[in-house]
Amino acid sequence: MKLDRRRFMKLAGSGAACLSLGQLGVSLAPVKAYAAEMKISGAKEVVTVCPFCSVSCHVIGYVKDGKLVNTEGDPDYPINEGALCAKGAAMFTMTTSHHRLQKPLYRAPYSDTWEEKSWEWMFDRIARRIKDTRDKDLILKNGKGDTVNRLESMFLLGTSHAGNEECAIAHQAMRGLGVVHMDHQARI
Amino acid sequence: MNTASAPDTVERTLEIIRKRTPAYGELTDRFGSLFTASAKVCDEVATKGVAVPEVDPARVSSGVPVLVGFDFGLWREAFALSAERLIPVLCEALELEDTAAKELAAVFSDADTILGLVRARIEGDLQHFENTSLHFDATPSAVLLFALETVCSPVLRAAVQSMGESLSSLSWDEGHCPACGSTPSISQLSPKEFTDLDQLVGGGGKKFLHCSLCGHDWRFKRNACPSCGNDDSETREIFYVDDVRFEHIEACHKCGRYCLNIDMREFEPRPDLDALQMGLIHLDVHAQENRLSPLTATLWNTVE
Repeated sequence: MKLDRRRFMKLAGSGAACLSLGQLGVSLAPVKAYAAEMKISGAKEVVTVCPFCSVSCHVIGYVKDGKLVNTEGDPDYPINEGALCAKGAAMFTMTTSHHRLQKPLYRAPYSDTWEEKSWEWMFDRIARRIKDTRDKDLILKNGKGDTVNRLESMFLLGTSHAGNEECAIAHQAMRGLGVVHMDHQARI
Repeated sequence: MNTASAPDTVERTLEIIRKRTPAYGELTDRFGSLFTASAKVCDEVATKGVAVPEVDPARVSSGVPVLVGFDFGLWREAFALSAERLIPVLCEALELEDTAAKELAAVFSDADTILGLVRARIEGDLQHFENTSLHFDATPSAVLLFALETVCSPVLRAAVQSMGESLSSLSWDEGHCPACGSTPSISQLSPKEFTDLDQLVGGGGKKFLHCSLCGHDWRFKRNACPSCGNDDSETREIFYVDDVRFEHIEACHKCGRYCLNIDMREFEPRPDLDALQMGLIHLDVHAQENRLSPLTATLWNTVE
């Protein structure tokens, strides 16, 4: 098909804007029909942090309809530059594996079975144990009679996934209880 | 990252498009020769050698593309050669009538006219194309612009390749090309990188924008919109065909633009990115049905 006068006038009226296939007499009907057959999905890219170790590699998560559908290393993060270790690369399966715990489980002292409990019950239980331990073990004075308010039977292990502010709050909370033994995951 | 066109890569890409669906048959048959001829001209110009523009890092770091203000007269012969080779193929592909074809050939037989149009294109002076087209009866400005881009693209690609490290090592965070200042027509995620560390898997996936004119690929932030810089995950979205996950539409709902993206980690052998766009119109159709507009209007994504 040659560029006839009608199509030429159409072209001439388009200014220096981009040429279109339609102006050149190309029918896009077959391509549009092909496009209509396709099932096209949308997902959002969310940058997150690998939960496994203290390196804290960045990961891009693909989220579709509120659900994680894929993960990959973040190439713009200077530490991992898109690469991940075997565990990090399998991060997505952690969210889909049937082995994953989805509810809090509790095993009572000397028991050999796990019981399903609510988060509320768990928080109450943890708070109770902390309070009881502190009430029982808090050392008010040292051998010289100096006030120390020290709790040596509890230990805090910090996570590298906590930000500076979160670390500061956790640290102050432990100091408030008298906890003196603290360390960080990054050293392990 | 260099993804410059090579004739065999172009042929392979056209074959991939043909095999995908007969819907692209007419397009590949009609326009395929243009991509092949362009790749051959690029090779020929590179073999003959082009004057390499000097890269001034200080100037570039203030946001000025390398070719702004460049003396294009140094490439006069290369442009003339490109026009001689490509204008007949272009006339054939556009199916111009004899009068229009002769007129276009006449326009592009004058090196000074070509140089004036190249300067106007680099400086974004589209009015120059409209003014120039007024002197001709059968060459509308849209055709003149497309012809100029067809002629100057292989020369610019050859020049950009010859600039090598001096260009690719530049620090450049913009959504337009550090070489010629044009906006990208497509982007790609880099192929897997192999390291000596057996413990690591994956790698690659770095985003490179592909210049619509000179074909230079420059690094850009992976999770940001090249048009407006938006990196909010709530307003950016990736669309893909369910069983073809290596071809994406990267959409920004904040500015309403989209850019197609190819994941080279999944695409083997590597395609020619310019030719491949002709086979991705179904994604453009989907994006534009969702009221998005392309970051750079090209012949392949101007679907209405």
